[in-house]
Amino acid sequence: MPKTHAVAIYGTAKYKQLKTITYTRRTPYHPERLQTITYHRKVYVERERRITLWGSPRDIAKAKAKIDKENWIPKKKYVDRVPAKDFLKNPQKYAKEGKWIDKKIKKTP
Amino acid sequence: MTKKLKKHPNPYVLGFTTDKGLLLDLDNTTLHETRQIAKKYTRRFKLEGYLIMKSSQNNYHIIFNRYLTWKTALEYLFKIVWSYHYYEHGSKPSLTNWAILQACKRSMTLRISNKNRKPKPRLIEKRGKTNKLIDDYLSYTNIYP
Repeated sequence: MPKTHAVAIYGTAKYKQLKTITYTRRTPYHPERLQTITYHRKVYVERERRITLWGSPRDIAKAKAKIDKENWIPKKKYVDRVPAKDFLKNPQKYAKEGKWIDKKIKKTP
Repeated sequence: MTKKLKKHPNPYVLGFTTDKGLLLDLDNTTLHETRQIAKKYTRRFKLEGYLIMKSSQNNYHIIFNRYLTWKTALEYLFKIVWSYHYYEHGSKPSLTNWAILQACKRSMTLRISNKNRKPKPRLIEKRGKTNKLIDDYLSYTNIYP
């Protein structure tokens, strides 16, 4: 009986993330006073991502096609032991929208 | 005339992952040495057969045929690392690093697609039985054309 193995998909992903920006400025009419301004903005970030899809070669090929077509990237840095059949039914559980990019970034431990 | 480089079909890298067998990633090794390692450990651990793939210049992958439990596979992997670290040809730091990473992930991974400018691994040699893990490996490499 053939045993099931997996295919790991890894590389650099680009996605939008909420970032808090804070800065201080002097008020226009009272320059002796300092005002702190905080706001949130969605910015693009580039991070390393890895996902391992377990199952038959046919299911994995389908899951890979889905990732290419619908632009899915793993939710976390390392998403392990994802059944390919499960991924085809419910990709939101393991992945979110983003783009894979062909770029090397500095590794962080 | 400058030669046009073939465009990378995927921006990510694909790797064959298993926890039911023994794989080896040998960096900075000659083909002769790779062959010696494959033959020696196939005989010593009764692994039935082996497949050698060339990933790039002086970098080779070895896939052994017999199915093993994760515990046994890890035992054999670290026996190879141990023997190379202390007895033969000096140490292989890249193999040690790779083995530690695989132990952390609880599965062994070898690349099956392009990576940056490196082409996908090419078949060099097949010896002994190839009906178990080697067949599985070859069927999974078909995912990446």
